[in-house]
Amino acid sequence: MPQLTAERKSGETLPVIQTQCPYCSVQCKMQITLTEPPPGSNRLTYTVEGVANAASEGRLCVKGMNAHQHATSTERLLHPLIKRDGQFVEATWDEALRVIADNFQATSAAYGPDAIGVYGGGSLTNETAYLLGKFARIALGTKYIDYNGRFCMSAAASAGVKTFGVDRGLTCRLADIPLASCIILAGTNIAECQPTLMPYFTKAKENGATIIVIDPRVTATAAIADIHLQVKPGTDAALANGLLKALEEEGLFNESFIAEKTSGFYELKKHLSGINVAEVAALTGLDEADIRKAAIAYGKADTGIVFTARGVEQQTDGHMAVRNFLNLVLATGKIGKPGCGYGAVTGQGNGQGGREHGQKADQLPGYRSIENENDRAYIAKVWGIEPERIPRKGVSAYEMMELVHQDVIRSLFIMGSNPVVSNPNALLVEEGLNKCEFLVVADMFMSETARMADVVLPVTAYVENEGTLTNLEGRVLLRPQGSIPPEGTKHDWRILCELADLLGQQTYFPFQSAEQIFEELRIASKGGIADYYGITYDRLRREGGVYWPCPSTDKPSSGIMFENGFAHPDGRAIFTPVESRMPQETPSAEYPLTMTNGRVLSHYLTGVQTRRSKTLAARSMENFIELHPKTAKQYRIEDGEWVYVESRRGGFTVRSRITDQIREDTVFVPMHWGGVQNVNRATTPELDPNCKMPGFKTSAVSIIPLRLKRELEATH
Amino acid sequence: MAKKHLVVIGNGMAGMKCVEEILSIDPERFQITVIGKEKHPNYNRILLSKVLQGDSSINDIVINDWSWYSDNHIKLYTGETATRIHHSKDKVVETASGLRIPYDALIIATGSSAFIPPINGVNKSGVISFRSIEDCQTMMDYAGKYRKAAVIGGGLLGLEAARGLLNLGMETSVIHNAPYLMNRQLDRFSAELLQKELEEQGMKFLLGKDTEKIIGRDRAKGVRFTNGTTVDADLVVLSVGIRPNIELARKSGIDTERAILVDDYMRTNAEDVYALGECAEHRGIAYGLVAPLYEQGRVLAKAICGVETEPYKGSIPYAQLKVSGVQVFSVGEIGEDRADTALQQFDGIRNTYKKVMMNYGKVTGAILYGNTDEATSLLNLVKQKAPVSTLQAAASGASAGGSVLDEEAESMQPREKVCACNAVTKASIMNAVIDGGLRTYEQVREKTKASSSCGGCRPMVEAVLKYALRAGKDGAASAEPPICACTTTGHQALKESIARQPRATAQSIKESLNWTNVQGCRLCNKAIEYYKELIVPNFISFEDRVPASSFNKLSSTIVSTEHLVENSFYDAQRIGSKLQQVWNAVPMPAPVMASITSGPHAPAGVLVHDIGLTGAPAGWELYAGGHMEHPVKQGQLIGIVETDTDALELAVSCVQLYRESASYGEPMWKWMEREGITEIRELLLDLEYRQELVNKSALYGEVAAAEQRKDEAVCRS
Repeated sequence: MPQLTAERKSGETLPVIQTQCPYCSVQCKMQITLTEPPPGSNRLTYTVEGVANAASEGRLCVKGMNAHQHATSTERLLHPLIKRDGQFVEATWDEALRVIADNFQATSAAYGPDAIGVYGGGSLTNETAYLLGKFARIALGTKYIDYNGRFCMSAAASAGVKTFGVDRGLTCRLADIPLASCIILAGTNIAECQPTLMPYFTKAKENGATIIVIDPRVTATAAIADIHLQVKPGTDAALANGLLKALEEEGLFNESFIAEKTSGFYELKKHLSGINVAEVAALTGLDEADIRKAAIAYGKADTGIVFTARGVEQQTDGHMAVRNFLNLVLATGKIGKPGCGYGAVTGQGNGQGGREHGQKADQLPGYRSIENENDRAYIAKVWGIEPERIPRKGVSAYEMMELVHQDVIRSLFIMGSNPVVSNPNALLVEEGLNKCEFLVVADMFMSETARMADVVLPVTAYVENEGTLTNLEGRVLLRPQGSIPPEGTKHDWRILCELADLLGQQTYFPFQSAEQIFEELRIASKGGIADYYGITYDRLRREGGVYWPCPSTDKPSSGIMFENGFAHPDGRAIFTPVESRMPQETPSAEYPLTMTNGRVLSHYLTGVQTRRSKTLAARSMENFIELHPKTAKQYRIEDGEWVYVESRRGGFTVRSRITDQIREDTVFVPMHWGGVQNVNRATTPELDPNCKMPGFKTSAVSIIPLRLKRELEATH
Repeated sequence: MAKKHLVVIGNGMAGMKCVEEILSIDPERFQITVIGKEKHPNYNRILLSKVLQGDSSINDIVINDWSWYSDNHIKLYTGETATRIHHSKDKVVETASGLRIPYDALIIATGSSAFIPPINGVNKSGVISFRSIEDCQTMMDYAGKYRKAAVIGGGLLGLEAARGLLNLGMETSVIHNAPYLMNRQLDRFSAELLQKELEEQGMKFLLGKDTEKIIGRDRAKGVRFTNGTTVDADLVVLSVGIRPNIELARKSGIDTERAILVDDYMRTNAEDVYALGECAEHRGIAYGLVAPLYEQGRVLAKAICGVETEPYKGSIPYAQLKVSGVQVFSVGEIGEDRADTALQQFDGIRNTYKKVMMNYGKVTGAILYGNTDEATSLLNLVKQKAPVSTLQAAASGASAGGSVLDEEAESMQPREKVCACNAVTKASIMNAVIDGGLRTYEQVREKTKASSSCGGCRPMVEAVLKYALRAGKDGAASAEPPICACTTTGHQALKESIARQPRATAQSIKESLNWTNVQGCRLCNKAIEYYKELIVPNFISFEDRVPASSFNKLSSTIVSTEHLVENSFYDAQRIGSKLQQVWNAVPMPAPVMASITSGPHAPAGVLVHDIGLTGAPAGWELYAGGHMEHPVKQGQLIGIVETDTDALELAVSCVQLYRESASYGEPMWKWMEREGITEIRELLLDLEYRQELVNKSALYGEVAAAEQRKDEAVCRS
């Protein structure tokens, strides 16, 4: 096995590395060939090609094609760093781990184990995510663990659990998309966020499908829509009510499906009697006719799939908004058969797997509940401890940041995440982390959060670290180790084992390989909702990928869920009435515009990796605010100038980009940059009471050209 | 069965093009004999002007070398003239040296000669035409001995000849009887643009002059006009038109008018005798340009091989002037008496002109000056007699109709990305289509992966495919233009050659690269000095070193003095003086102007300098490629960095990259447009490479500047 930066020897066969993209939830397979440098140069070159698997079909997008660039970056951290007198100094692994263990022991002794927090990420493998949960609960004994996947999936996940009795990203296969006659894409910009999925939708369109896109912006995804509902941000639940009402009025409910497969329809019907499509149109900023047109297109289609993503979910009513879209699915009976279903388009590479195995505050492996006594007992048995030793549930990701700010959590261990950029209300998070007594960050790079740390631990890159990841469909994929990590870095799971060792808990962390962890995960998930028992590394190598639930090693797993009923004990799915609601933060005179956020094609999450990839950074250098020409005119903003954007939480400065592809009352800012460009300095930390998802997607803001702001400040 | 015997009279472009076509259809069909009057194998007569201008050698313009004839078993008689064709009974060609060559099929491709006007003195020595390699040779000989030349005829060929004479160092006047140049192909407006440009290159013009006689006793000494004025000239080149070579046909009893009469299959009235090219007259037209003879050659080849073919229906004549630094294109009807103006655009900033003519709602002709990128598409419009509405759509740019995309596809830079997801450039699609013979969108997607991810770029991929199919090789990356008239070598090739032998003298470099003018001119000599310096810097001395002062330099730096205002973290003074320290000593491809400011509160024109560095909310922003003179260019963002050190390194590496990859004399904005902003950013964002560039540049700083020499900044702000 070569190092990624190995010297190419002329005349020898060029090493080829098999791996899997570290970015989005499609998890495209790829191979990297270490090619010979061009004549007269000693710069290392690579050829990256897509390798066909069932999800990606061999496609790659610009992010995947260039993922190796961050792994080979000279900015990779190659030594543990300890901050002394405000400066990072290089340390040995022994020193660094010892400092951490000493602190954790001291903190625990002084304030109790819950004074330590653990914060994970949706890019970690299933094995590391599983082990991080176990590490928090057993090695540290803290209840405070959560992860950035909270921002990604919690609304849809909790909605799926409530409605269907189970949460798996897609209830169908990607292969069902071309079979659908009508597709609703609500708050999801697949063309930029999961580009390699787009051909599934264009194929559907070629087959004659009607595509309905719900988005305040004319995104690259909206460009393929037959019907684009350019909705006011934060009014998705209301829109779904309008769609339901229109379906009812057209007599397009599937009565037999409703009668046989669901419960709660009566309540829904009662609720709908109070809904008026014209009022919905006014609330959502749409034409009534368009809402009806969309409803009829979906209702009359024989097959159809509804997708939601962060646009619907990152709202303080995200959980309920998703449930209202699920009402739509149930009312028309479009689920449980080919070409039908619902999909939450997960954002992160392992957003799905990351939440299934105990990285989430309230969960234990196999999607078990930490508050359920049977689940606790089962896991305790697998771990070889008493059930009482497992802490109870903690709090969600942003709430942990609040606890840090309140000095409840005094030591924080962060692995694979950059919370100072990705959390809402980033200024408060920054303040909290700044005063946090002891901060450890395990990352490949000196991220914005790592800069604030007391100890930074350099971890290995995707291509160097073996493990499984579960893609948006719920398909488990094995990412093999393709290259030898650079000296000085360590696998994240190994760091956990070695720390556990120093904390005297080595008995529970005897793992020498990712596969050994997976073997324990199989047993821990056995009988749970996300049952991985039937999946082994061998099987993954043989079959390419396996859907969960997979309770048996010799039976095939199924891509289509709910063919024979739902996962609730009575086999029925549950309708729930959902209120039409105004956005959580409605514009005011002081903050007259609604700001929403999202991704751009070249970047991923907070950009810690993609901003260090030359090809990606070159395509998208800096953050921007997208605004309508009329809005720009009103606020005296010229194209390309610096704009100060402010909300009740705080402000940030980005360059303007004027386009008529956005609503006049809405501005859009990408989420990939930190510092003064960080959109999250202004986003709201209000949480959805059902799932603790922050309402990232609607913040009331004011905008002013930076030059005018300076002018005003100068005269005062 | 014995092969039939094909005889071709004329060893020029038309005849040999047709033979090539025949060989490609059925190589075994004929035993071929070629009779050629010149002593050379077939060469590209159109490129004679390039030879004369010093951009090509004679070898470069040979199309079919000697071995081609032998490889294809063609019997070639050079220096031989056919004197008679017996076509009624015997079917034999007689030649001047007494050969009698029997034929089964005969092609007459005798071409044309220069038209020698009936004026006094045209037989004097020093009066020549411009048709052959020998004419070129004569002109070069004269240039060695005399100073003044006159070209009679301001048409395409005359101007090319005049440009060649200028390059040979002769003072050259062009005499034209019409009131403006190239009056058959251009309108007055474009002709005057052309004239102005050529005057700047040193050409002189005498327009509206009718030549009365060539003066001088035994050799030409000048030209006298009907109005009594004269102009001195030791060499007079006649370029007033062509005369089809038809004597052979006429005296052999083959029907001729202005030229040899042929039908739509290029057949003459004599059985088994064909004619094509400039000696043939089809539907009343004898063409004098290259494209028709190629089209005729294809039809004739099929007809003679018995392959079914569309008849030849005539050609749309078009002309492209081959003079370096000038782009002129003309196609179809351009006279305002015969067609109306459909579109007329003049861009005084870029100095480009475009005029399209129409008749009864169809596109019938066009003129392009300054930028001929659209030549292919306009030629096609004229050929297709496209409705003018096609132009309208393109001109307004309003509808997202096909034609707008087509135009975009055509004008896109080869390195620009068509598919953002898979990073597929226009060039890679073009190459896949042209080299891989792809025809459909699906094939392109399969082969290049373009549009295979999100598919959003499909319309553009289709447009590029269409363009590739239309434009063929010409549309793909074109060959590097020559550095100057002294050579055919381009900048890149020169640089590579110097890199191979960094210590070779300038003279030996020029010799090894076959400079036609080994003395060189200011352009190429400077370029050589610059590349030598770039590859082995001056402070590492070598023999024929050039004084450092003679290179292009950092010509001025503006450092905003208002540096430490409230709330500014950015110290422009400090960073400015450091940059000057590094750059002051560095030779540049072209003069470089820099501007450094701590932020917009102290404006310093950051966006209109070659290099601009400004404090901004997110860090130092580096801009490059701005230009405040004609043509005004806005600098583009290269990167944003947080620390002073990073800002210094980014700026220094950007300039070093420019130094290494720009051609000599190429200003930074032009370099950026050529290389592409994304590509430049990508290189500079590669931190290892950035460091390499910084290290190379730092050498200059170390050698030139004492460590902490405080700022001698040229402060102008």
